[in-house]
Amino acid sequence: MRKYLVKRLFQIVLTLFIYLTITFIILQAQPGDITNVYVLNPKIPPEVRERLREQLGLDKPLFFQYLQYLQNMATGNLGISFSQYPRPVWEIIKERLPRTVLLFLVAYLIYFFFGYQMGKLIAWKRSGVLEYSSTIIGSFLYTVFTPWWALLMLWIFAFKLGWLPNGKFITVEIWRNFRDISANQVFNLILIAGGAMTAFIFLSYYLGRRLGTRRAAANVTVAAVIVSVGAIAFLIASTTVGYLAADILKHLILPVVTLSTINFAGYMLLMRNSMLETIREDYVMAARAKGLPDRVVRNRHAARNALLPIVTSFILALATVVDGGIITETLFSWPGIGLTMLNAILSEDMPLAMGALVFTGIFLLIGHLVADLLYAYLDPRIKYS
Amino acid sequence: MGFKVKLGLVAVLALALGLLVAVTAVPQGGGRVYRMGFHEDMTTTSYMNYVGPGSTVWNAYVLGNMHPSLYGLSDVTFQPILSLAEDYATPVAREGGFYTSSICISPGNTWSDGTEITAEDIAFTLNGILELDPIALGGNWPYSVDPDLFDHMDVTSKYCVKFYLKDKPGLSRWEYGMLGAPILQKAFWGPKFEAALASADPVATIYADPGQPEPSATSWVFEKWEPGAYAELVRSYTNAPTELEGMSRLLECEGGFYGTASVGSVFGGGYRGSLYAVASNATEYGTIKGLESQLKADTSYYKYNDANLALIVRTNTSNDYNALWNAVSGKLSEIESAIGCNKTLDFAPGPYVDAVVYKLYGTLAAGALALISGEIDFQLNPLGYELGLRRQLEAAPGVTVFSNPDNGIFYFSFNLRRPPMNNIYFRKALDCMIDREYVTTELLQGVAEAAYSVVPPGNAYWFRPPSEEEKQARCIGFSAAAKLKKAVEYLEMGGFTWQVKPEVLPDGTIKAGRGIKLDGQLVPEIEYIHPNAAYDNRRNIFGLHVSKAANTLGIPLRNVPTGFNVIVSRVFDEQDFDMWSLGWSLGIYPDYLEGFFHSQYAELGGQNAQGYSNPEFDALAEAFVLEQDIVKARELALQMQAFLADELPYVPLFYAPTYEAYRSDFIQFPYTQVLAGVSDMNGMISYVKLIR
Amino acid sequence: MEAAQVRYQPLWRVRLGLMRKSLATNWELFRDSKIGPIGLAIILFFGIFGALHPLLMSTVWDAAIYDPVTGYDFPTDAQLKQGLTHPLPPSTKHLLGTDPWGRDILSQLMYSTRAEFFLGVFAAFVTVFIGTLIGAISAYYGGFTDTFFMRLADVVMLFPLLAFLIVLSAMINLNLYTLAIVIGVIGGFGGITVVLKSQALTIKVKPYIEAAKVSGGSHLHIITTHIIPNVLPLSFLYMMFNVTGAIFTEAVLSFFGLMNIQMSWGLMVEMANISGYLVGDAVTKYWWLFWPASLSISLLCTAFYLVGRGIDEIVNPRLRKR
Repeated sequence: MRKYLVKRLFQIVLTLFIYLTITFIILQAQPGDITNVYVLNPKIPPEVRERLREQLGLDKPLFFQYLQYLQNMATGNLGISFSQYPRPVWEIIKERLPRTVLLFLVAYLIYFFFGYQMGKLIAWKRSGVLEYSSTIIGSFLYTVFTPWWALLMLWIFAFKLGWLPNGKFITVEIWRNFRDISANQVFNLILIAGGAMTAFIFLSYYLGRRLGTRRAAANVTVAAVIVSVGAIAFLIASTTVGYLAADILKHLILPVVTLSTINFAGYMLLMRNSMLETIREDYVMAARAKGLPDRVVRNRHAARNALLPIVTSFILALATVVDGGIITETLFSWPGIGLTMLNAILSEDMPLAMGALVFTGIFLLIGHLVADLLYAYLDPRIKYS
Repeated sequence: MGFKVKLGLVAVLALALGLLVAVTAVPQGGGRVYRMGFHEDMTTTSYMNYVGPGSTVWNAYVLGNMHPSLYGLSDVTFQPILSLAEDYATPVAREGGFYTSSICISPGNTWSDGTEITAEDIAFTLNGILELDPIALGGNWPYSVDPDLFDHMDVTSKYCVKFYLKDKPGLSRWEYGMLGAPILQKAFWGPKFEAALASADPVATIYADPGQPEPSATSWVFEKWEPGAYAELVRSYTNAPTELEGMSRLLECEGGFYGTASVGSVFGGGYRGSLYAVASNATEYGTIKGLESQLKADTSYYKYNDANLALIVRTNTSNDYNALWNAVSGKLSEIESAIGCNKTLDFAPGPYVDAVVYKLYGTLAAGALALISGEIDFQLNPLGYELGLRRQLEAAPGVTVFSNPDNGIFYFSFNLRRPPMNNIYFRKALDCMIDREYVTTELLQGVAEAAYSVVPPGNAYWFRPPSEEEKQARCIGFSAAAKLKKAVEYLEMGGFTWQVKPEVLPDGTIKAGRGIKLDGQLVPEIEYIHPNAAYDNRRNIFGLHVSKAANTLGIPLRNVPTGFNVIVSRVFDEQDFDMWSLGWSLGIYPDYLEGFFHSQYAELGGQNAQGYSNPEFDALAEAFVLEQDIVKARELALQMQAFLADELPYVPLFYAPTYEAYRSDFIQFPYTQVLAGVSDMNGMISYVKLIR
Repeated sequence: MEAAQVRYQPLWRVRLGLMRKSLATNWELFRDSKIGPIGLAIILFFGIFGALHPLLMSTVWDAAIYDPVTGYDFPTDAQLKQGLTHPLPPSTKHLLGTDPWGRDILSQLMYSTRAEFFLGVFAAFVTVFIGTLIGAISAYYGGFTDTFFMRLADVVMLFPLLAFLIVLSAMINLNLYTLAIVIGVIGGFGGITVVLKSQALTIKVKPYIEAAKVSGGSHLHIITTHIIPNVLPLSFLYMMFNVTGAIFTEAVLSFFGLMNIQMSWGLMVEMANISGYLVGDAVTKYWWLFWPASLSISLLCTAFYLVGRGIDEIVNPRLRKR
């Protein structure tokens, strides 16, 4: 295991190096340089631009710039934003990160759950109308033109029905009554509360299993869910922060629904394929032959094992999710990393855009590594040497 | 998990969702709040930063409401008038190695922390910025404190300062420049400046400072910025304890509303300010001045500025605006009738609201939707609405849409270093051939207006309408056939010949030419780079039209829709292009005429990328920059425009009127006709009245 | 006697026969997947739809009016009387109405179809070409070459492509060609190499490769004649998914206004967006600006995806019903 870890870490470093080199090459590929943005302002004298060039080391030889770039990245210096000069890019990313993480996490859990359930069902009931129609609809949703779908959602639920807010992430009228609380505090609290709730539920399940039967464990888990939902409802109803958190969650519904409807189809289809493969495995055949009930074979024997490739794609899909997030965040005015990146490009803030891109890449790489290790830990079939 | 368990879970989730929606129903109230939408976030809370690199229009909307300056600009006409200054600066005079000028501010103006605004604040601001190095500060700082002009400033008494200048300034660097510089509070910024100067990188240090909570000199104090969501200003009751009943008056003269004479009011802290009357030409001004003796009989304090055509009225003793208004309003009517203008409006500046909230929407369209659904009262919108949104807004109940000319120009230009673009007749022929009216009315359906001058007509005082002679020369209002004939004439005058000459056939149709030659050589393909459809479809459509017109003349022009960045880089950084199209957003004072066309800016990276060079024009431009009298400056500006209309280093294509909308069932503006729109006046936060 | 006849058949004929036979079987499998043919039908529809455009332009459509980029048509008197201006609702002259600048939507839609096909297929072709080559080379040589390309694939797989292209759009002139090449190249170094490499690995150990090596076949010869043909079916599968990806990406980039092109489905939606026809009631009132282009993008993407899944059932025998 340790040897594997070291090897994997070495690979990650190599990957990171390739990644940074690629991003540097892209940065060099642009016409002119990142100070272009100052050219068209009749009020800004050319000297200002020259000075900026000097400050950024753009007058130095290319190789020197490359080394400096690598050094900066290694020390976590993502540069200084132009549009929010002199705010460090890292600070802006740090500000936007919790918003993106919350959106993704909630959407991820929801569409993973539904994709898994649906895929399991349609694979089990082969060749039914269900499979046929859900494959077609699923394929359509999976490949749907996301902006269209998002605008449609907004049009139906925000404009026509008026149930949900029209984009944005907080209700200004509510928040301006609580001036000392910043949105990020609340975002962080939501993430912490969500994490605590998940941990509590899992712990209950684990203890339930250790102490009693499967049925008892299920009961304990349900009780834990009800308790934690109750606790959260109490917090929302009785505390200011809870109240503000509820406001954020309300704004979260529509983007999550949009992201989920698009992405769940991908998992559904994947689960279906994976399930179809496991169904043919001997142990599933054997379980059936033993005369176990259909539901038990499906859920315990087939679906469990079909899950593994899904988890793999779960990791690989991170990049796709980031892409989907850019579109969703843009259309719902959700100020996360994706929207920040797009706005940075539109306002020609290259350091911020590049910083967000590099950060996302590193974030994904680390996510990849962590997931890899978790996977190795969870799946006893995988042996590392 | 069993079925029941799942059902239970679903029920719990549904309950939670229901709770969410119910708990967070939007409350109303919370004082009188003026809600505005904007669709790009501000980037800083620091005023220093905003004037520097953060000089976006979005920051201006919020942060541009709180600082005093010695001179201000009048409503509607944007002429320099007194603001914090008690009297006009003394004429610039030679003194030792310097040019000096003195100016005093009126006493009794306060910051929102209750302290008085004194000469110390002014001297601190200008000297401090100079010490930090305006060039390094960048943005608009070199414009406010020009290190080539400003040497230092002395405090001569509690309310008076003395400028020491290195050079004799013209209007643009003086009245429209340094005298309009924002004043910062010494008590607040002083320690920050010192800390910055002591650090390794003073500029980065001062800009990294959040710059809040900064005392304000107006009725507004900055309250909060929640990035990605909203910003808020609240009323300063120290500076504006009550609402005013005093008045401003707007007059409409012969030249139309924009650039007319106006009578208005200026406020400093604690309502200390003045009433003013500005004329739009020398005759009007003479008339106003002629009334001097009559006016003087009633009130205690009058100041004239011959160079600016402005009259300032203020009381010597009290801050009571209502008394001042009552004293002079009768006389103002005399001014109106004497200069032949009609009163269009009397209004009382507020403020009438307790707080201003700037709500951020992701896109212009999302903000417009919020306006329709009543979430906001007015949408700040520097570029105006396109037709589609306009139609929806017009159809929405309670929403009123209005339009104003914008202070900007869209143009195309040539690389005058290369043939055949350096041939003046080539440019005249193209200019003549383009049917701007057809494109603007038919293809663009009124989202643009045909342009013939670099200075837009909305900037009425400086705008030069085309003369009759020029209309003939530039084929304005000609039919397609007449345009072709004239363009062919021009090309022949320029020594061009054709393989197939373009002509108007007897039945009135046009036969396109082919193979145009100059000096017997075929003209090689000319590349015309313009913004693409996704960036700006108006310029894209014009690009297509220009190339069509050129091709009809047999000119091998190829239009290439190009990304914005690529155009900027090729035109300004590399000067490697044949023809290009872009747009400028302009200031009030047309010193850009010098900036765009004086030959000294033709080097790489300069704004005269077309490489226009004409000693006669250069001389005019230089005189213009140094001119101190507004009437004479105008004369020069008109001459420069006439020059440009003849030589065509730029071919103006169109102006884009800006369309804006507000909830007329929720709010009232005293007036909505103003150059570049109500957004450009930061949403009139001090004038707006709530009626919901 | 019969056996002799067979022996004397020329080799190409044998191959052709086998190919035909396998094609027939594969087609049957493809048809049985049920979803594949639906996709194919949609693709065919769009193919014809796009091919009709130049035909219409050269026959019944006047370029001055129907050109998708520079065309313009005046509203008829009847329309003006109703207070209608551009964008005009569908009429007999303009079956899908006009856009805000008086251009025919149907013509734009048909014209763009060709561009989408070109982009999708070209990008996919580049991807498959690079992917197959790299996959085969990695599998054949192993060692550092393998490690390098696999790590590179890691990077590319983790690359948020859209985010990357958004940043790239600020730096290079993104038009249809450059986008196709960029998407193709990035795709080519990505996940496809991993999959094709593992496929190629299973072939590499087959006896006939050994035989080829022993009989002195060059590396190039073995890679091109033995390994690559055997991974091609899988490549083809990936090609379908790549077409979907390329078309989708172009549409989104156009929608963000980052592409430098004159006309495409995504740009049609973007132009409706910037001129303010995508919010509130306009979504239904001016449906012809938004729905046809959006649905076309979605449908064509879905179609290639469905065909991909159909092929999946052929290539991946465990998905078969029988």
